[in-house]
Amino acid sequence: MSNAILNINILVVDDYPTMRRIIKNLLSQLGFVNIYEAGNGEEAISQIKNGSFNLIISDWNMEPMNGLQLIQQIRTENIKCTNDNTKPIPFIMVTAESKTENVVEAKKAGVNNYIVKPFNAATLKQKLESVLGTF
Amino acid sequence: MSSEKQKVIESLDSILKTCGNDQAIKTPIESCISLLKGNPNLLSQTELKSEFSNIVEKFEAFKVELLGTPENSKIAKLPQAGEELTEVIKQTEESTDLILTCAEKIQSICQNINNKELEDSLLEETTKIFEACNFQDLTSQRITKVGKILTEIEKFLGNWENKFSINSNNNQKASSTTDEDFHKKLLNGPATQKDAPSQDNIDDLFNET
Repeated sequence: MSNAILNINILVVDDYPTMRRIIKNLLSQLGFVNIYEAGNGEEAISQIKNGSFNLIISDWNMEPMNGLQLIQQIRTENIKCTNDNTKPIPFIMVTAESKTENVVEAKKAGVNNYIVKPFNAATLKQKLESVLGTF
Repeated sequence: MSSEKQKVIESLDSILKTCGNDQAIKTPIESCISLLKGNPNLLSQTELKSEFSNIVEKFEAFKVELLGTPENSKIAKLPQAGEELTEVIKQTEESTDLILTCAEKIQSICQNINNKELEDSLLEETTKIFEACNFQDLTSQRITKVGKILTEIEKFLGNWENKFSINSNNNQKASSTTDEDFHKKLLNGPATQKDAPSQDNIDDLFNET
């Protein structure tokens, strides 16, 4: 992966600290260096509005704001990438929710890709590349 | 059919859905439902009370199986089931944290190894450890789901116990908003292994949508 991509700011959102740790470790192994965390959708929105991010990786099932509500708010407010303000911020849903209606609603809401738990490092890399572009 | 009777039938139906194949609990509930549907007038308090007592008895027996508490335990002690489950989640989280700490330590040791092949092999194994630790999140979600079902059953049984001894208790919970229902319907947690779609299935669905 090119250095420019590896230097992007990524926000990992999940209410389980252990899951955030797993994703963070896998991202580090891929070479990403700027990884931030939030424990739910509300915390994520606060960080996004006060910071600068190029990618959100989020769980669905969280309270008080779940992952679907998070992406809906991000798209409604038209939050863009830090390094390219013509581009809506990419969002990957990583969740145990696997029913058809979940995938349909997530895509309608504007997620760029969808990973179902449990997942492996190869799937994470593949989805990152599909969203961030080839590097 | 009166709206009160309809509400009772709907509540019993939702409990029935959570009973799985446990006939010991299902039979008295099904019997209550058919009695309610069969009678043009509201079932007498005595008949309903008798069927309800039957349900409570079976549920107490189920609690004994789950918690190992004495057979005369009251419904009010059911929150203990939730506490037990929370304890399970906490212990698996602690163990997972320790596993991850060890894997991270191996990762940092790898940075000082002057042997690329060995370094790559070790990193590959630590990746597998991180992947395997997905289990903790999923088991926690499943356990939390069971805890919620038990709490709902407890609430229902508690409410109807009160209703039999105290008249006209009209503390109805305000109905959920449409938005709340929409989100609630989408939160089902992890599927069972036999029903779980693969990532490829999800990818196909995502790309077709």
